[in-house]
Amino acid sequence: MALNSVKVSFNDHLGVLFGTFIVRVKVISRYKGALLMDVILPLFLAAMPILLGQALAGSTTAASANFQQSTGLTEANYIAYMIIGANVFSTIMTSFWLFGLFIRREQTLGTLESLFMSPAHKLSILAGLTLYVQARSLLTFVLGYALGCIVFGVNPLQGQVLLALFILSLGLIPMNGLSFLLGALVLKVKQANTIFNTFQWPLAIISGIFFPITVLPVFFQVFAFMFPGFYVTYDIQAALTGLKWLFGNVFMDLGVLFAFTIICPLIGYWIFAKTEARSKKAEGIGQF
Amino acid sequence: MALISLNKQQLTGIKLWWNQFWSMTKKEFTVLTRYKLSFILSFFQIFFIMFIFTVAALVLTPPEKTSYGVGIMFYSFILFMFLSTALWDIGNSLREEQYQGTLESLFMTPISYFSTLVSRIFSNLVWTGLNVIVTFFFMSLVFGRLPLANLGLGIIILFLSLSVCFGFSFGFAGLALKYKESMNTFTNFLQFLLMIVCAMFFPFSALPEFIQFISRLIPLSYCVDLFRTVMIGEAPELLSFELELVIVVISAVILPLLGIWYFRRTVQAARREGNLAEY
Repeated sequence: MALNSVKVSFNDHLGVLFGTFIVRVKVISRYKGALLMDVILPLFLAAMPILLGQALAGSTTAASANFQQSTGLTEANYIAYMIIGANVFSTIMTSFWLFGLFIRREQTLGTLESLFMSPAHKLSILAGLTLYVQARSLLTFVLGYALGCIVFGVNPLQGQVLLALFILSLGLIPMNGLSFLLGALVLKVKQANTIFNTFQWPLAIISGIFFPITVLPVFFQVFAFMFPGFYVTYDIQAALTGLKWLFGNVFMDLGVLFAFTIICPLIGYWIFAKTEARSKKAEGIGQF
Repeated sequence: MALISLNKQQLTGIKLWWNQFWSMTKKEFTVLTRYKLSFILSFFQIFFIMFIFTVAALVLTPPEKTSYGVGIMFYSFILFMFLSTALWDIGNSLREEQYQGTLESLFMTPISYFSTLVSRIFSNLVWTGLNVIVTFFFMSLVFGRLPLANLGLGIIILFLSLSVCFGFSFGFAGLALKYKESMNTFTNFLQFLLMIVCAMFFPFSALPEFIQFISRLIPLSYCVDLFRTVMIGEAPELLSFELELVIVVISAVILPLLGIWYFRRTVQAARREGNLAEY
């Protein structure tokens, strides 16, 4: 019986989804240090500008006054703002690169071609990966944010914590959808780590992790409004530090984010499917 | 006929050492430039990282201290890049040889450990140096002219600091052979820890007293302090200029020797136990 004539039921899809999830959980449980770094790294990232800025300003109060004057964000505590930014950045980047790095790993292990020959649908695999990233991101965000707040003496329970976690869960979906684009890029140009290492920083800039994009030229702002990472970062900063919502109220902001959760996976998957088909016709997808 | 008919004189000497070093360096350069996209993107990557952290610090800074702030960030980042290269590259490169199954045969050949290690880092140091020059121009373009008080002395201190980094690097290569995969997380953690404790992106005065006490125990702190204050044209924060220079020179001599000693010991132990090729 030909493989492509195998009927895959809904239960089979669920099996692929949970199988992928369990594999990723088992793998990461072997690398507890990596998980610990997920929690600590955002603290290091936020500490750099905070400590330099405070040292140059002369005191925390002076740094706060300078922040409000340069950014116009009079409501926000700049330490909380930057700690949230660093933590959100870390989690959304994990989601964004998820599928691309998965493709790359399978390529180098030599299992990508056989995986794509199996009747398991790529969406089931991505759903499993997404579930894993959601669980990992929520855990590391909560721990990382709490750690940062404790180290810098900020109350981690200020603002609407549950709303922030909801925004994060919702916001990771478009990032996972966009990760199909990265998967397509990996199929085309292979060098995933380089692309990852380079492009995560411009994306951090337009996401406004340490400063609002309004301090940058309009050119950056245009890109920011097209990137869901910007909305996720800003809305979580708004929920936790009391900033004004981008579109006037929380429902409008959530509406925009929800639109991205529909559009991004569709566009991402469409582009990936096209690239995959082209690669299969040309040199195949197993080459690295 | 015996496979190896060379005598001891033919296996030692500066010329031979140079030949070994040069051949291995050429091989490393070939690998490095094979990935053209990586090569080109690396220049932008460094600039983007510096840009985001510099702007983030500047929104907290009074305008009159902009140039000083950009200087601290840029010159600190230079040392951080070299440290990062030193910590990762030799260990990773040896691990790569382990994966490919060529490490054991490499260490069976009569080549110097020192040339093996230095050649692995040399090509990346040249690459990092190029990155620094390009980023200097990018940063000057965006943030205005960077402070450049004493370039000559700064370069001498940078070379001494590189020697200190080599010491760390050789030691870490030994640890990578011994502890294998678990070293990645440790190196990652240590890199960021040194970044904070050695005040790599901010003045030492920004650190709490008890961390400053730890900073004073690490030779790399004096490299950071001396290099950036010489380039910016300020007095060092931790000790006087002369004392810091003495510490940096002594560390630049002793640490690489200690690192090599530890590396040789690890390789010999691995050869005795027969696990050099295991990964």
